[in-house]
Amino acid sequence: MIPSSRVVLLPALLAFSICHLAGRDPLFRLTLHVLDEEGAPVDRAEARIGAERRPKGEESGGKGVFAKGVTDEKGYFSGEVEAWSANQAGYHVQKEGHYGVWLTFRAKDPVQGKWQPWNPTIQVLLKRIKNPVPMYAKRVEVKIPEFNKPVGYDMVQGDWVVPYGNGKMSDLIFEADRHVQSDQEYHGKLTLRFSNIGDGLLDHEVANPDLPGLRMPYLAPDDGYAATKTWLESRHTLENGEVKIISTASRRMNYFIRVRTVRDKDGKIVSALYGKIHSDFRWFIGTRAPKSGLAFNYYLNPDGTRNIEYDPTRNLLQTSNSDDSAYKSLAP
Amino acid sequence: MANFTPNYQLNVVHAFGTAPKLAEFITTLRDQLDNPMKVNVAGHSLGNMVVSSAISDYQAAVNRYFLIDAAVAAEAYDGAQGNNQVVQPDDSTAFLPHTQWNKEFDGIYPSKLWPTNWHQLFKYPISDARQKLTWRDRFAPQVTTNYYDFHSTGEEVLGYDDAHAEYTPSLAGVLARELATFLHITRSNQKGQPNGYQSWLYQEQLKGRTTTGKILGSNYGGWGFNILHFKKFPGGAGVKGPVMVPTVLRPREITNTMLDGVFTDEVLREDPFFLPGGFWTNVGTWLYDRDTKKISWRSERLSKLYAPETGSTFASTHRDTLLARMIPAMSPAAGRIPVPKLSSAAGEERNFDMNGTDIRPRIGPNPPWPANRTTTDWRHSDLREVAYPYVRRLYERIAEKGFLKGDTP
Repeated sequence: MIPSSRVVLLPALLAFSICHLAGRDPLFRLTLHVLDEEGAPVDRAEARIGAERRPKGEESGGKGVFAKGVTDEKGYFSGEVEAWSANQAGYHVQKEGHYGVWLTFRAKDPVQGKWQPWNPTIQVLLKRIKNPVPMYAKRVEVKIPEFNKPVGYDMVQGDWVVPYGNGKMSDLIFEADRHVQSDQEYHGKLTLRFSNIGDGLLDHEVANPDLPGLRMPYLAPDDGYAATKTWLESRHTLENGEVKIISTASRRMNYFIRVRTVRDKDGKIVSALYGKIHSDFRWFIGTRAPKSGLAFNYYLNPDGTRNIEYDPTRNLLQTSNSDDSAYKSLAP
Repeated sequence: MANFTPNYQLNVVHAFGTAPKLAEFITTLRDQLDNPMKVNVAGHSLGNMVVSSAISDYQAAVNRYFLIDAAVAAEAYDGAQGNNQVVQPDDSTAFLPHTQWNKEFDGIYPSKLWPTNWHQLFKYPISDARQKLTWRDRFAPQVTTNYYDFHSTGEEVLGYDDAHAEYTPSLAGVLARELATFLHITRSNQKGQPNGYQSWLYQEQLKGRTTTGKILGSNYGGWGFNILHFKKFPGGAGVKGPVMVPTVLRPREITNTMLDGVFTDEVLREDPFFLPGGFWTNVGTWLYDRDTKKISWRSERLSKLYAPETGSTFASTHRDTLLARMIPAMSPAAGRIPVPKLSSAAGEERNFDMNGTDIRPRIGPNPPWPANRTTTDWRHSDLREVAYPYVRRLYERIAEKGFLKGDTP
């Protein structure tokens, strides 16, 4: 129905004015229940909940008001603040030996002086720091040098293999194929293969790619790796005018990876390097560009174990790119 | 145009009126450069409406264009509709429409009736300018310009989330919170920006839903209903006998027979299902004379839009004002989400999430961020609100992409 704005406008403005004059903002309350990856409560963790307070004087917005404390023996902490806005409230939990968490909580509008929902209990997963190791870590943003031709990428060197770069071993072998009529009409396929039997990718999808901390397990699996992976990109206008777009990349997708696999005469794996890819490979088909582009984030452990917990302070790749520190510290 | 107004829709109109002057300035600037490939332009928030119009409508010769926190519907740069596209499908999953159209009345009004699809009724003849009354591809990327979208998934002004998409409040509901907050205006005794959570979404959802259209939303078109179609008054025939009290025409009551017999294309062109606006409503637009380079204001009666003989001319003259005030967006702002087409066309990443690890590397699980913030979200205008050490990679990325550190190719 059409809102009778004039009827409700006056009381609403009155309520607004009274609230404003009184100088009291609604209350925001959260309870945090902090658990480790095994479901055990984490006690004595430093916890903080915060919401936005009313700006003072010439202050800009965005300043927080906080309630701080530590979790009890059952892993609980409750905090309450007077909040000008709790639409972008948040909570922060940290404890030595764990990966800290700092996340947003979006409250709904207040009812009777309380932001809604009132005092919900949020489960916070605080993962332990177990054994982070130095790895080859890189955010790759490159042009694919050739179409319809396998091109190798060396994850230890962080470059295409010769003659397209300084790489020596083809850990990843990409082959791109595209057919472009225009921005509106195109299709293409990117295929990833590997050099050795036993090498491959293993999908690992996460529900929320924006959660901080260790997004993948501490250890890579020892089985289940696929020898090839294909991504499709296409856009076509159907006869009825509908635009049909296919893009198989997913933000939620991550991968375990195994390369440089060496097997004995019985086919049993003797050695291999394990690693992980954070987020999906992104292929930019390049409808207006002479070449396609490719972007992905990788972490490769050289010690031969399945440990993929990365130490962001010890990236084994040294590059001249001034922006590279961004990629060294992408995530643990 | 110098007067201040918190009215977003009016500011959009002014933005379009400013664009030709920006294009003139860029042309003058370019003529003075030793290397004409050096023209980089960055727009912030609604400034992107000005820059985009200058490039698309007035051929401003910009080599690289950086959209930052762009308060412009993403569909303006890529108008493809469907799952995983920037333009939301015409169903209950869409959260851009006012919730009365696709959620609250136990059904979805047929998409043919939506204001966002009205332009499709004018496909023939091809010259009818009303077919351009859509945000889709309004600023389709120009071949000669490289577009870079610096958006933030932590936006508050351009932000949204599921909890806030369940129900669209009335203007009174918005006012009952805090007017300045939702209008995203800076109070006289404050610097910087206030909170303004989800302002942009409300501005789109409240098109056609306000009484005067002078504060927020607008009072014609949009997600308002045409009362002649929408209300069944006492005394009329109802499904279960005569109607005794006014009731609304619910989505499930609109049968295919009604669509074919009552809501025909011919009827909807002249008498749409959405709020058509009052007979006395005036629509004003800044017009640019390319010969004299002067800008003038022209105002006409909205009723001309619905008349067969004047509709196309009226739409051609007032297209941008009608987009600003009458036609809601069906996609989030480009400052909140990526525009995939920019990257797929360029063959490289052209979308950068300022809330992500690209621009803010993490030390440990979270990026460094001022401790007096409640979260690590990169909010609207944080490029200037947060100290340089925290945000420097944004500027470094712009410098890298704009070839500001070395030779321009």
